[in-house]
Amino acid sequence: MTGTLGKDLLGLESLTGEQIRLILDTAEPFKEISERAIKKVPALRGSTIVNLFFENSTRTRISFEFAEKRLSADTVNVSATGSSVSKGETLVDTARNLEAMRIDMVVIRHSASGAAKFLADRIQSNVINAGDGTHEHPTQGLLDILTLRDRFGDLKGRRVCICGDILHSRVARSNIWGLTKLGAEVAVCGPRSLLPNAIDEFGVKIFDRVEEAIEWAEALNVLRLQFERMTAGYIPSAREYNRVFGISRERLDRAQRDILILHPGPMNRGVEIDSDVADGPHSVILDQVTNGVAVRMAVLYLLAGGKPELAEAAKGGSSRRRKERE
Amino acid sequence: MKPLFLRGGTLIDPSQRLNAVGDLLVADGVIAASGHGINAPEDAEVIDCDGLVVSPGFIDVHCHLREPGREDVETIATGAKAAAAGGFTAVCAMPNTDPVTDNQAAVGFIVRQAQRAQAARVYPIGAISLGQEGKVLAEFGEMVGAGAVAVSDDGKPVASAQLMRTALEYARTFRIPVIDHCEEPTLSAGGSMNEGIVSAQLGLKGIPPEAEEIMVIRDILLARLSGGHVHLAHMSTKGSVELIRWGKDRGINVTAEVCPHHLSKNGCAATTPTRR
Repeated sequence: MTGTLGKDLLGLESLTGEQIRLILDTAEPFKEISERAIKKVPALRGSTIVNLFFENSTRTRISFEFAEKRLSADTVNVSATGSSVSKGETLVDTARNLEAMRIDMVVIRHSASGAAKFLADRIQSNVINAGDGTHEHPTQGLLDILTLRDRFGDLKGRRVCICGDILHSRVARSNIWGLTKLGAEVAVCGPRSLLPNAIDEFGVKIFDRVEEAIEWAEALNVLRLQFERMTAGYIPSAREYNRVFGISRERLDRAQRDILILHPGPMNRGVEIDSDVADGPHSVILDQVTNGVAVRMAVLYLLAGGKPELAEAAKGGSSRRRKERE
Repeated sequence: MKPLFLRGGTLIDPSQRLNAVGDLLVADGVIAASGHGINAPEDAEVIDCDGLVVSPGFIDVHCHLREPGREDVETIATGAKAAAAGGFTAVCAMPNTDPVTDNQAAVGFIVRQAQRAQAARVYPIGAISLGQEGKVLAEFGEMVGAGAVAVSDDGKPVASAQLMRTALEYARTFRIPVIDHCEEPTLSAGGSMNEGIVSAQLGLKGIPPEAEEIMVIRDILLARLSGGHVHLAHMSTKGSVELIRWGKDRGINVTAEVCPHHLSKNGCAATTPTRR
């Protein structure tokens, strides 16, 4: 089963702008399904999908599960604790055993960069990367981009700045590749100790000061400050981070124009983002979450071999049913 | 033993400035003649060496025979036989075994296992510190007495400059080199490949060349201070080569080695140090 995306979705770096647009366009008709009383279409009926989560996740795991269920797939959730992984089974053995039970797709989240590709190279099922280490988180990148597209339309020439811990962020990498391929201008802003040394070679603008980033950007994607990294001494304290790099109402007001605020979550209120910004009029943080389900439905549908033009038709069945109910 | 006549090989011996096609006669265990137009004795065993290299046996100064501890990977016997099959008549065995080769009994065990294997000669290298923990010096004298030819904590760097200094000084008594695995541990921690655009794209933690070079210059300066012989294992950066040249130009007793895979370009994980 391979659609126009190929067998797997491992990252946005390996996709073309056209493929990214295809996913976003396919997500559009799927948005409406989640607004119905009966949130279900039969597109993936009979498909079996395993959500293999070796790392903690709330949003992404639940979002994938909703996407799968709303497309009528049968789903199983496997986490590292409570499975044979805690008995020392290797990743590939776990996956091969699952595959021996005849599954169609694996959604994997893993702490090691490259884990999704490692798996994809070894099993026949479609593999979707739900975040691998500090490498990529393609569906997060896609849902961020879809949210930006909802507000901006065409992203060509639009100025988006990603703020915070770029070094350890898979979300940052997926956003950089995806946005660049759609013609957006991308910048990063954060302390140099949290930027890769080779950031100059990514083809993005770099701002050392958040005030300059705000001056430039039309949208800010504010990344979570990863407290677990702070023990390594990348920055001195959350307090100082907030004072130097935090996105505050005051800083935004100085720009004297509207700036869209995104955050992939989970948020540390009062650290990288202040509450009045997160809950303010220009925050699209919850729209991102809503779009996440539609984007994941689109990815699942396309990888399963669905024709993009049929996505519209695929939702037909249950809207009729809704009418009957009404 | 019958004389051995090697016909028409490429004879290479840098010590004799020799690199030419010719014949070689070995009689009574020594080279009796070499060059063109030598006659093979009637009773000689003749081997046609056309297209082959004939040279003194190679010596690998840095190998891991993994015995005791990881016999599933390599044993002294399999390593010694593999060496002989590849033209190496002697290998030096690193001490990061399990348990660590940090005492005379452990060194003696390697010597005995090597004798049993009856393949390439095996020269054990003892640990610098007990358990390779970088704290207490191992008994260099006892280990040299049992057959060790050098000391090293290979697999790990000697993090403490003071311990490295002491090791270099103490090793002078036994006229052995101290071999260091140059990797500044706080800079390389968690890294799996060369730091650069590729590591940044892949989301893997990189190791900057400076992690090696900081230790290289430290060791060279400590060799100058102590008068000892430092040997730098598996050099992988251009900067290291420049620093070694700087040391040699000043008469400091520093030697170094390089691995073939570090001479090819742009590799990634699975070797230490990483390819660059």
